[in-house]
Amino acid sequence: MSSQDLFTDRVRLYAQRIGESSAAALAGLYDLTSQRLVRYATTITRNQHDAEDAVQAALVKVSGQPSLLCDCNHPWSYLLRMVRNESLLILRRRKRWSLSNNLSDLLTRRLVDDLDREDTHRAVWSALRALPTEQSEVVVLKIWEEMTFAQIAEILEVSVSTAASRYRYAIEKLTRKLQVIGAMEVFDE
Amino acid sequence: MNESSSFDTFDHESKIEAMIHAARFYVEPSEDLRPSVLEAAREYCADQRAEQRLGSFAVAVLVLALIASPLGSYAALLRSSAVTRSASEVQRHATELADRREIGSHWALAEAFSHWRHLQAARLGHSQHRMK
Repeated sequence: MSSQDLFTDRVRLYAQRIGESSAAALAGLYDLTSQRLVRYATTITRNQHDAEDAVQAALVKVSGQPSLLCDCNHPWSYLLRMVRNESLLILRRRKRWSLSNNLSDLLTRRLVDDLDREDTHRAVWSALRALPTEQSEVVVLKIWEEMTFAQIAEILEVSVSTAASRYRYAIEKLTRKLQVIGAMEVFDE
Repeated sequence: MNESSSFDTFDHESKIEAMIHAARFYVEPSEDLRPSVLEAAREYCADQRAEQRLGSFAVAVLVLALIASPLGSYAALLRSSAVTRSASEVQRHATELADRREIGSHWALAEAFSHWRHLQAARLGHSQHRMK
Protein backbone atom coordinates (compact mmCIF):
# COMPACT_ATOMS: atom_id res chain seq x y z
CA MET A 1 0.00 0.00 0.00
CA SER A 2 1.50 3.38 -1.03
CA SER A 3 1.94 6.28 1.38
CA GLN A 4 -0.75 8.13 -0.53
CA ASP A 5 -3.22 5.27 -0.04
CA LEU A 6 -2.41 5.24 3.67
CA PHE A 7 -2.95 8.99 3.81
CA THR A 8 -6.28 8.63 1.98
CA ASP A 9 -7.37 5.94 4.46
CA ARG A 10 -6.51 8.21 7.37
CA VAL A 11 -8.52 11.05 5.82
CA ARG A 12 -11.49 8.68 5.47
CA LEU A 13 -11.07 7.50 9.08
CA TYR A 14 -11.13 11.07 10.39
CA ALA A 15 -14.16 11.87 8.25
CA GLN A 16 -15.94 8.86 9.76
CA ARG A 17 -15.03 10.08 13.25
CA ILE A 18 -16.46 13.49 12.42
CA GLY A 19 -19.67 11.72 11.40
CA GLU A 20 -19.77 9.93 14.75
CA SER A 21 -18.79 12.76 17.09
CA SER A 22 -19.51 15.90 15.05
CA ALA A 23 -17.20 18.93 14.88
CA ALA A 24 -14.97 17.88 17.80
CA ALA A 25 -13.26 15.25 15.63
CA LEU A 26 -12.44 17.88 13.03
CA ALA A 27 -9.25 18.73 14.94
CA GLY A 28 -7.75 15.39 13.89
CA LEU A 29 -8.51 15.97 10.23
CA TYR A 30 -7.16 19.51 10.50
CA ASP A 31 -3.87 18.33 12.04
CA LEU A 32 -3.51 15.70 9.35
CA THR A 33 -4.26 17.81 6.29
CA SER A 34 -3.99 21.55 7.02
CA GLN A 35 -0.38 22.07 5.95
CA ARG A 36 -0.89 20.24 2.65
CA LEU A 37 -4.20 21.94 1.97
CA VAL A 38 -2.85 25.41 2.74
CA ARG A 39 0.20 25.02 0.48
CA TYR A 40 -2.02 23.75 -2.36
CA ALA A 41 -4.55 26.57 -1.90
CA THR A 42 -1.71 29.09 -1.70
CA THR A 43 -0.50 28.09 -5.15
CA ILE A 44 -3.99 28.82 -6.49
CA THR A 45 -4.84 32.03 -4.61
CA ARG A 46 -1.23 33.29 -4.48
CA ASN A 47 -1.99 34.65 -1.07
CA GLN A 48 -1.76 32.62 2.13
CA HIS A 49 -4.53 34.52 3.90
CA ASP A 50 -6.99 33.74 1.10
CA ALA A 51 -5.71 30.17 0.99
CA GLU A 52 -6.47 29.73 4.68
CA ASP A 53 -9.97 31.12 4.13
CA ALA A 54 -10.47 28.53 1.40
CA VAL A 55 -9.20 25.70 3.61
CA GLN A 56 -11.44 26.85 6.46
CA ALA A 57 -14.51 26.97 4.20
CA ALA A 58 -13.83 23.46 2.90
CA LEU A 59 -13.19 21.93 6.34
CA VAL A 60 -16.30 23.58 7.80
CA LYS A 61 -18.34 22.02 4.99
CA VAL A 62 -16.81 18.64 5.82
CA SER A 63 -17.69 19.06 9.51
CA GLY A 64 -21.32 19.65 8.57
CA GLN A 65 -21.44 16.87 6.01
CA PRO A 66 -18.69 14.29 6.65
CA SER A 67 -20.42 11.85 4.30
CA LEU A 68 -18.95 13.94 1.46
CA LEU A 69 -15.60 12.31 2.26
CA CYS A 70 -16.77 9.00 3.76
CA ASP A 71 -18.84 8.01 0.75
CA CYS A 72 -16.37 8.78 -2.03
CA ASN A 73 -13.64 6.48 -3.35
CA HIS A 74 -10.78 8.97 -2.96
CA PRO A 75 -11.47 11.21 0.05
CA TRP A 76 -8.11 12.98 -0.12
CA SER A 77 -8.59 13.86 -3.81
CA TYR A 78 -12.12 14.99 -3.03
CA LEU A 79 -10.92 17.22 -0.18
CA LEU A 80 -8.29 18.75 -2.46
CA ARG A 81 -10.99 19.42 -5.04
CA MET A 82 -13.18 21.08 -2.41
CA VAL A 83 -10.30 23.34 -1.40
CA ARG A 84 -9.59 24.09 -5.05
CA ASN A 85 -13.21 25.11 -5.65
CA GLU A 86 -13.21 27.35 -2.57
CA SER A 87 -9.91 28.90 -3.69
CA LEU A 88 -11.30 29.61 -7.15
CA LEU A 89 -14.40 31.21 -5.58
CA ILE A 90 -12.17 33.48 -3.49
CA LEU A 91 -10.06 34.31 -6.55
CA ARG A 92 -13.17 35.27 -8.48
CA ARG A 93 -14.24 37.64 -5.69
CA ARG A 94 -10.79 39.18 -5.42
CA LYS A 95 -9.75 42.04 -7.66
CA ARG A 96 -7.29 41.23 -10.41
CA TRP A 97 -4.74 43.87 -9.39
CA SER A 98 -4.34 42.32 -5.96
CA LEU A 99 -2.57 39.25 -7.42
CA SER A 100 1.09 39.48 -6.52
CA ASN A 101 4.18 37.40 -7.13
CA ASN A 102 6.11 38.40 -4.02
CA LEU A 103 6.21 36.10 -1.01
CA SER A 104 5.46 38.65 1.72
CA ASP A 105 2.17 36.96 2.60
CA LEU A 106 3.77 33.58 3.33
CA LEU A 107 4.20 32.26 6.83
CA THR A 108 7.32 30.16 6.54
CA ARG A 109 8.92 27.49 8.63
CA ARG A 110 12.60 27.99 9.45
CA LEU A 111 14.26 24.83 10.65
CA VAL A 112 17.85 25.18 11.89
CA ASP A 113 19.00 22.25 9.73
CA ASP A 114 17.35 23.77 6.70
CA LEU A 115 18.50 27.40 7.01
CA ASP A 116 21.06 27.13 4.22
CA ARG A 117 18.34 26.01 1.85
CA GLU A 118 15.92 28.80 2.68
CA ASP A 119 16.96 30.86 -0.34
CA THR A 120 16.37 27.84 -2.57
CA HIS A 121 12.93 27.28 -1.06
CA ARG A 122 12.06 30.93 -1.58
CA ALA A 123 13.28 30.70 -5.16
CA VAL A 124 11.10 27.63 -5.74
CA TRP A 125 8.01 29.34 -4.28
CA SER A 126 8.73 32.49 -6.30
CA ALA A 127 9.14 30.48 -9.47
CA LEU A 128 5.92 28.58 -8.78
CA ARG A 129 4.05 31.85 -8.28
CA ALA A 130 5.33 33.13 -11.59
CA LEU A 131 3.70 30.20 -13.39
CA PRO A 132 0.09 30.26 -14.58
CA THR A 133 -2.11 28.70 -11.88
CA GLU A 134 -3.15 25.76 -14.06
CA GLN A 135 0.52 24.80 -14.40
CA SER A 136 1.64 25.43 -10.83
CA GLU A 137 -1.18 23.39 -9.34
CA VAL A 138 -0.23 20.40 -11.50
CA VAL A 139 3.34 20.67 -10.21
CA VAL A 140 2.12 20.83 -6.62
CA LEU A 141 -0.16 17.82 -7.03
CA LYS A 142 2.49 15.82 -8.87
CA ILE A 143 5.53 16.55 -6.72
CA TRP A 144 4.16 17.45 -3.30
CA GLU A 145 1.09 15.23 -3.30
CA GLU A 146 2.79 12.47 -5.32
CA MET A 147 -0.27 11.92 -7.45
CA THR A 148 -0.46 10.23 -10.82
CA PHE A 149 -1.53 12.23 -13.86
CA ALA A 150 -4.81 10.30 -13.84
CA GLN A 151 -5.52 11.43 -10.26
CA ILE A 152 -4.48 14.99 -11.08
CA ALA A 153 -6.72 14.97 -14.14
CA GLU A 154 -9.64 13.89 -11.96
CA ILE A 155 -9.10 16.72 -9.48
CA LEU A 156 -8.64 19.38 -12.13
CA GLU A 157 -11.37 17.93 -14.38
CA VAL A 158 -9.11 17.86 -17.44
CA SER A 159 -7.81 15.01 -19.58
CA VAL A 160 -4.74 13.02 -18.52
CA SER A 161 -2.75 14.27 -21.49
CA THR A 162 -3.62 17.89 -20.63
CA ALA A 163 -2.41 17.36 -17.08
CA ALA A 164 0.81 15.77 -18.35
CA SER A 165 1.53 18.51 -20.86
CA ARG A 166 0.85 21.25 -18.29
CA TYR A 167 3.36 19.53 -16.03
CA ARG A 168 5.95 19.34 -18.80
CA TYR A 169 5.59 23.04 -19.68
CA ALA A 170 5.73 23.97 -16.01
CA ILE A 171 8.91 22.00 -15.38
CA GLU A 172 10.57 23.54 -18.46
CA LYS A 173 9.73 27.04 -17.21
CA LEU A 174 10.81 26.24 -13.67
CA THR A 175 14.12 24.84 -14.92
CA ARG A 176 14.82 28.06 -16.84
CA LYS A 177 13.82 30.32 -13.95
CA LEU A 178 15.75 28.44 -11.30
CA GLN A 179 18.84 28.15 -13.51
CA VAL A 180 18.83 31.90 -14.06
CA ILE A 181 18.91 32.70 -10.37
CA GLY A 182 21.49 29.99 -9.69
CA ALA A 183 19.28 28.16 -7.25
CA MET A 184 20.23 24.79 -8.67
CA GLU A 185 23.89 25.31 -7.88
CA VAL A 186 23.00 26.13 -4.29
CA PHE A 187 20.92 22.97 -4.17
CA ASP A 188 23.82 20.91 -5.55
CA GLU A 189 26.02 21.99 -2.66
CA MET B 1 25.97 14.60 -28.39
CA ASN B 2 22.18 14.37 -28.58
CA GLU B 3 22.13 11.59 -26.02
CA SER B 4 24.29 13.65 -23.73
CA SER B 5 22.02 16.67 -24.12
CA SER B 6 18.86 14.66 -23.38
CA PHE B 7 20.62 13.14 -20.38
CA ASP B 8 21.46 16.67 -19.19
CA THR B 9 17.84 17.74 -19.61
CA PHE B 10 16.66 14.68 -17.69
CA ASP B 11 19.26 15.36 -15.03
CA HIS B 12 18.15 18.99 -14.76
CA GLU B 13 14.50 18.04 -14.55
CA SER B 14 15.05 15.48 -11.83
CA LYS B 15 17.14 18.04 -9.94
CA ILE B 16 14.34 20.61 -10.30
CA GLU B 17 11.80 18.05 -9.09
CA ALA B 18 14.01 17.30 -6.08
CA MET B 19 14.31 21.02 -5.33
CA ILE B 20 10.57 21.55 -5.50
CA HIS B 21 10.02 18.47 -3.36
CA ALA B 22 12.40 19.81 -0.72
CA ALA B 23 10.42 23.07 -0.50
CA ARG B 24 7.15 21.32 0.34
CA PHE B 25 7.22 22.16 4.06
CA TYR B 26 8.45 25.73 3.62
CA VAL B 27 5.00 27.25 4.11
CA GLU B 28 2.95 26.45 7.17
CA PRO B 29 -0.55 27.47 8.27
CA SER B 30 -0.85 30.42 10.66
CA GLU B 31 -1.31 29.63 14.34
CA ASP B 32 -4.79 31.09 14.53
CA LEU B 33 -6.14 28.99 11.64
CA ARG B 34 -6.73 25.89 13.79
CA PRO B 35 -8.91 27.56 16.48
CA SER B 36 -10.63 29.58 13.80
CA VAL B 37 -11.55 26.46 11.78
CA LEU B 38 -12.75 24.58 14.86
CA GLU B 39 -14.82 27.53 16.06
CA ALA B 40 -16.36 28.07 12.62
CA ALA B 41 -17.20 24.35 12.39
CA ARG B 42 -18.81 24.41 15.84
CA GLU B 43 -20.94 27.42 14.87
CA TYR B 44 -21.87 25.83 11.54
CA CYS B 45 -22.98 22.61 13.26
CA ALA B 46 -24.93 24.58 15.90
CA ASP B 47 -26.68 26.57 13.14
CA GLN B 48 -27.50 23.35 11.32
CA ARG B 49 -28.97 21.83 14.50
CA ALA B 50 -31.02 25.01 15.12
CA GLU B 51 -32.32 24.90 11.55
CA GLN B 52 -33.27 21.24 11.99
CA ARG B 53 -35.08 22.05 15.25
CA LEU B 54 -36.90 24.96 13.60
CA GLY B 55 -37.88 22.69 10.71
CA SER B 56 -39.26 20.03 13.08
CA PHE B 57 -41.18 22.72 14.99
CA ALA B 58 -42.67 24.06 11.74
CA VAL B 59 -43.76 20.54 10.74
CA ALA B 60 -45.30 19.97 14.17
CA VAL B 61 -47.20 23.26 13.95
CA LEU B 62 -48.46 22.32 10.48
CA VAL B 63 -49.65 18.90 11.68
CA LEU B 64 -51.35 20.51 14.68
CA ALA B 65 -53.04 23.04 12.39
CA LEU B 66 -54.27 20.26 10.10
CA ILE B 67 -55.69 18.36 13.08
CA ALA B 68 -57.14 21.47 14.72
CA SER B 69 -59.01 22.88 11.71
CA PRO B 70 -61.77 20.17 11.54
CA LEU B 71 -62.02 20.30 15.32
CA GLY B 72 -62.45 24.06 15.08
CA SER B 73 -65.26 23.85 12.56
CA TYR B 74 -66.95 21.18 14.70
CA ALA B 75 -66.72 23.47 17.71
CA ALA B 76 -68.11 26.37 15.64
CA LEU B 77 -71.08 24.23 14.67
CA LEU B 78 -71.72 23.30 18.27
CA ARG B 79 -71.42 26.93 19.25
CA SER B 80 -73.87 28.08 16.58
CA SER B 81 -76.39 25.45 17.66
CA ALA B 82 -76.06 26.51 21.24
CA VAL B 83 -76.70 30.17 20.55
CA THR B 84 -79.33 31.32 23.00
CA ARG B 85 -81.61 34.25 23.03
CA SER B 86 -81.15 36.80 25.71
CA ALA B 87 -83.76 37.29 28.44
CA SER B 88 -84.65 40.69 27.03
CA GLU B 89 -85.47 39.13 23.62
CA VAL B 90 -87.80 36.58 25.27
CA GLN B 91 -89.37 39.38 27.30
CA ARG B 92 -89.91 41.49 24.16
CA HIS B 93 -91.46 38.52 22.34
CA ALA B 94 -93.77 37.93 25.37
CA THR B 95 -94.88 41.57 25.31
CA GLU B 96 -95.64 41.33 21.56
CA LEU B 97 -97.65 38.14 22.11
CA ALA B 98 -99.57 39.73 24.97
CA ASP B 99 -100.45 42.73 22.79
CA ARG B 100 -101.31 40.73 19.69
CA ARG B 101 -103.39 38.00 21.32
CA GLU B 102 -104.62 40.10 24.21
CA ILE B 103 -103.53 37.60 26.82
CA GLY B 104 -101.97 38.07 30.24
CA SER B 105 -98.27 38.83 30.48
CA HIS B 106 -97.49 35.64 32.45
CA TRP B 107 -99.19 33.46 29.87
CA ALA B 108 -97.48 35.39 27.05
CA LEU B 109 -94.12 34.81 28.72
CA ALA B 110 -94.83 31.08 28.97
CA GLU B 111 -95.83 31.08 25.24
CA ALA B 112 -92.66 32.98 24.24
CA PHE B 113 -90.51 30.65 26.27
CA SER B 114 -92.15 27.58 24.76
CA HIS B 115 -91.64 29.03 21.23
CA TRP B 116 -87.96 29.70 21.94
CA ARG B 117 -87.46 26.09 23.13
CA HIS B 118 -89.06 24.77 19.93
CA LEU B 119 -86.74 26.94 17.86
CA GLN B 120 -83.71 25.76 19.79
CA ALA B 121 -84.70 22.07 19.44
CA ALA B 122 -85.19 22.54 15.69
CA ARG B 123 -81.78 24.24 15.30
CA LEU B 124 -80.00 21.51 17.29
CA GLY B 125 -81.63 18.81 15.17
CA HIS B 126 -80.59 20.63 11.99
CA SER B 127 -76.93 20.99 13.06
CA GLN B 128 -76.70 17.31 14.09
CA HIS B 129 -78.11 16.37 10.68
CA ARG B 130 -75.41 18.52 9.00
CA MET B 131 -72.64 16.91 11.05
CA LYS B 132 -73.76 13.45 9.97
